[in-house]
Amino acid sequence: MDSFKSYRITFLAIGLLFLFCFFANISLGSVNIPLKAIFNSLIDAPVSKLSWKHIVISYRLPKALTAILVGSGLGISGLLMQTLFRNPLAGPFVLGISSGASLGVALLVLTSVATSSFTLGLLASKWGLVIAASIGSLVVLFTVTLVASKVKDTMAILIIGLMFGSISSGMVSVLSYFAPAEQLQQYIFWGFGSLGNLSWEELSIFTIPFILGIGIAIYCIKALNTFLLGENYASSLGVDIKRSRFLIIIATSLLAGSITAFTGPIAFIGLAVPHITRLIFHTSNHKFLLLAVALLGSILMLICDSIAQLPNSEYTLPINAITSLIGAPIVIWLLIRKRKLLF
Amino acid sequence: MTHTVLSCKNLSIGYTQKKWKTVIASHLDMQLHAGEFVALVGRNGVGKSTLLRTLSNVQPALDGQILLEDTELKTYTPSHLATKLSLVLTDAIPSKNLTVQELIVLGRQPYTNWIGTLMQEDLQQIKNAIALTQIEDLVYKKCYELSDGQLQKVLIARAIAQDTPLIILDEPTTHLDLYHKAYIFNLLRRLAHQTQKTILCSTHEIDFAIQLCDQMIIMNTGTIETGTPQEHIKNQSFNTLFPKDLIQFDNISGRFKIKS
Repeated sequence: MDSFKSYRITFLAIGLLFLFCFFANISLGSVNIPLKAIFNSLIDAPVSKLSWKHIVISYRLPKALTAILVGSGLGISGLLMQTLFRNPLAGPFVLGISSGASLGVALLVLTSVATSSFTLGLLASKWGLVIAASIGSLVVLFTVTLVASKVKDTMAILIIGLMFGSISSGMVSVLSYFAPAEQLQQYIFWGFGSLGNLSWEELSIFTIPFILGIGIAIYCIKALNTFLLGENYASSLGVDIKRSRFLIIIATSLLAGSITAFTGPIAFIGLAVPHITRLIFHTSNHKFLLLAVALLGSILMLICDSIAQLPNSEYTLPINAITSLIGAPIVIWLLIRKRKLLF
Repeated sequence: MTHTVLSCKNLSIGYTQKKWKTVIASHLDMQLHAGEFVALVGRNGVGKSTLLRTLSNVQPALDGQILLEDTELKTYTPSHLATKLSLVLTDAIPSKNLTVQELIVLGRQPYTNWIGTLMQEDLQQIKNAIALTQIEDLVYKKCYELSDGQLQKVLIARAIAQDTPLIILDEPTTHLDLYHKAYIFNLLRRLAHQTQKTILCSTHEIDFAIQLCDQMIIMNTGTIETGTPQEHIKNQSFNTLFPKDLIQFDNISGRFKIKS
């Protein structure tokens, strides 16, 4: 029957894999730190080298936690969008969230030369990019939700989201065409995405929209399940379509918007993770899917981050490139295996 | 006298567009009773769907009164209405990955708590719906593995699980072969009589409806006529359904024949 019991073993296995990936992620990095020292740093026991503890506590641990928030958040918003738009190709960014964020950042970075010292100062601080990206994605999302409240057809919202995305991308292109090389490079670097830049303070602020978004998603579980039958059946089951649709869009915006603001755009996780989850869990009940997607999203993100870290080397690869390089083949493999992307 | 589930008084149906009212039918009166299997017939475009949409509160009535279980339809909250009225639509189910079990479980949504936990009563209703529609062997299949006929049975089971006094079906036998059309009609008749639910379906299968329905609603431009199939045959009502140039209703055999 439909209960946690039937998935207990799978959840247990995935939970263990999650813990393994978490510790593996923390123990891998440019500096080789013995496992014992890592464990001791985590439980606040004495460590032979103080620098090791510093690396683990102030750099690797927040980075691993960021990876968990990003992976689970993007996975869940991808799941929400696929269910809402009844489209297996929908991801967290179909509503133009990342394009909006890009536009915000582009406006800040690429015009900072021409404008006042205020923007330059903002750019110098860590918060500049976060605020610019937040405002950018909020503006796009606000417009999309405004349209969504007027439009009856959910598919129309999808197209409107895509169009706003195109408008933002177009504006970014125009800006980059006129921008000086140095600024352009800074903008491109933001586009690579990065998990490692968050301090504990930023991380704690990041968790606020994250928890809100997850909370709304959990609140919408019943509505999400009925959306699988289509909107007409959903409303015949007593679901307020407009309200649920609005809440689902808000949850996605909070999750994907805050993630993009803090870490830059991160591709493919949101699209691939729900499909991987459906392959492992043969259920369409969002009660299980939400938890499974969160766990698998975190695992995939921790793995991607460990690879991007290029253990024992000085270099770090752009995380956005790694998620694409790993995520796209997974989606192709799923398509070949199942010949059909069902949702 | 059996219990009246749905009744309409002086009902007008149609569309409102920018102050313009398009009336499709008016002064409609009818009463549907518990345990009745009722068919709504009429030619394409006559307004069957509009009538069903109005009766299921998807679109508002232009005028008049609809009483569902002695309460006015428009005063129901969406969640309360979901315990009184369930639908089987012609819409394709977007998620083909749903299992039959999950699909039927969704019928219990109006009764479950905020996260959808199934109680003893829910499990009993689900089991009951599966048994009544005889789909025990389909329970663990996914929707994409089902034939059209099987899917229709599953959708009917979902509506049964929703446990409402009234079930409305929109052309439940389109796309089905002759045998499965008869099967679904027979199933609906049996369900109505066994569960004492009122089942109203729109259909083009006049032959089967005459043989299996307790009541038929014949819809013509702007009007409806209700009665048992025998009354309709006696009143020559079926001959009003279609243009008279090609087919004619034969009272003796109770079916339409090509005019010779």
